[in-house]
Amino acid sequence: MGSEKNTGGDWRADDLPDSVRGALEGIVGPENVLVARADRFAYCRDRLPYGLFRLRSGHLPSTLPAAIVSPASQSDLVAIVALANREKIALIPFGAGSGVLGGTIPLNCEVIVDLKRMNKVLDINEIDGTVTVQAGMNGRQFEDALRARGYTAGHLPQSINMSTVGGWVACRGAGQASSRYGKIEDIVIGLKAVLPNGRELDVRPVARRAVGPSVKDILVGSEGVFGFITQVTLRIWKLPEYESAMVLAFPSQEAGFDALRQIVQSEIRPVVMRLYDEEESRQRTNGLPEFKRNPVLCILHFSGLRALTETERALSLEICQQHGAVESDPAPSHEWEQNRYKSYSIKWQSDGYYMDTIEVVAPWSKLPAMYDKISSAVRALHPDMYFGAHWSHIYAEGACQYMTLRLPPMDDDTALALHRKAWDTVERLCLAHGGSIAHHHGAGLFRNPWVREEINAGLDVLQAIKDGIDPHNLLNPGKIGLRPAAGAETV
Amino acid sequence: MAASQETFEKLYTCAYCPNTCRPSYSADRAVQIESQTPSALCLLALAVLKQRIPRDAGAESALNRREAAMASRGYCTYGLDIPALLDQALGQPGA
Repeated sequence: MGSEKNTGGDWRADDLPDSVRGALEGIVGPENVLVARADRFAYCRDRLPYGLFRLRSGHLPSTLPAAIVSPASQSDLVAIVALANREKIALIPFGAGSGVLGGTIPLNCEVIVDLKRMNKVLDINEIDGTVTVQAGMNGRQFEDALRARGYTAGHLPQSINMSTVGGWVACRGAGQASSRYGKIEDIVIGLKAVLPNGRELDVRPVARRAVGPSVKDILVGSEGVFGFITQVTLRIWKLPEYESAMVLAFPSQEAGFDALRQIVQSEIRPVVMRLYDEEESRQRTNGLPEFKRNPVLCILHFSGLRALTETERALSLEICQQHGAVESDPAPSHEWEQNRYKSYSIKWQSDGYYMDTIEVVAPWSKLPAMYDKISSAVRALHPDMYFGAHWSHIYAEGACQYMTLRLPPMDDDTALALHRKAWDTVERLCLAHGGSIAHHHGAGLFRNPWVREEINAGLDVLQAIKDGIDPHNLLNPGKIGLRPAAGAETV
Repeated sequence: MAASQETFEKLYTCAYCPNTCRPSYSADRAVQIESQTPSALCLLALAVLKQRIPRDAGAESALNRREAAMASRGYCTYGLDIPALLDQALGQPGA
């Protein structure tokens, strides 16, 4: 395969052999195989902020893909994978590229397999309360299709407009309503996939099974490494008949933690639970009198049957008041509702800032200390480093801490070094406090340095599975801390 | 005519946006590729304007694939008209 330097830099752009291109065109039609440099450029990135920083300075995040192929069906995909195994062509599954950890970035000029032609709802079963949908369907279009029938899947991530259902599953995502509806692994009850060896997997949708360990969960969170998810069956729920919101001002973060822990441990299930640190609270409560003395913002939403919703709201308010909270003007909740599906980073990235978000999990017993250590250590990296945090996936055992970090415009090499240092600081302190390095953004590529410490011998288990079903290491190699392909670039 | 600073700023805004406008493009359309999304078109336009990608036949073909961009008008979070922005930025070959 040929490669060449680009006029604008040192982009690696190995080309696909004509014979392979011809074979792919024979499967999906020539109009569904893209090899032009410009098209390949569009697929060199996902939404990894580091990748954006590289593009901003005229570089690639890593390499260009060799080509893009768009199958229309699972049978197309089976043929593509068979060809890939014969010709030893590496493939990367691609939905909407909304991942923020570099999971779809080509490291070795792989061929991107864009699944968005497979984008239909196949069946809504109102007796079983399930929907079956193709993996390439846009998240918003999927949820709107359900709502038109009076249902919701309850998976409402910030990225819903710019992600695919298959991407949700591959990333093991969590939506903003997860406190009530669960995370994606709770919502997916069945799926179909094409494995890297070309075999077709069918995990039939049932409420539960006890037939050995969960094969479904090899694919839920697989990040394109263990197979192409082609079709998913998810639980659905009737749209709630009643909704109610509450905004609270807590005297301290610790009071907020204690209240939310008590709410969840009391088996109350608000649909939305959001607690902000003082930095992020200030930005959202300007001028509201309750926050002068109680600087910590908490937003709770409840939904469901009216009687149940009102009861849960009343019980939650009582618990929060026991921890010193006062109810406030609902404006912060309205503001959040209006902006919940937007991306906050665009303005900053466009203005040359270095902005990133990191989400980790910690047990309640360690959360306050972890927050203190992380916030002070990150702020100490640079006098102009912005750090803010909120907690928005609340469990009986602990919570997800979602952090925003931001450096002002500066020398690019300096910024990238500080950015990397900030990540290492956060992840290592999280591990030191018994937490998980990732709550719902996945591991992708950028978390590779910390995966081994998080899952220890579990990584060897995953590698053994990978080696068994993908002996040529063709499917999205080098992600989730697994073995990279020979000759792959490093990031 | 060179693209203005304001044009560049709008291109950057769209290029760095993760396509919140995606739902405006029908799932029934035959073409469902990333390189036709507004964000990708603006990323490509910037690369062409900065001469990181040659404005060859492949780039022209990609930049003229406007269906998704047309559908995004009125749907953009930032109120941008991407087809008009691209025309403004790329009006002259080699601009």
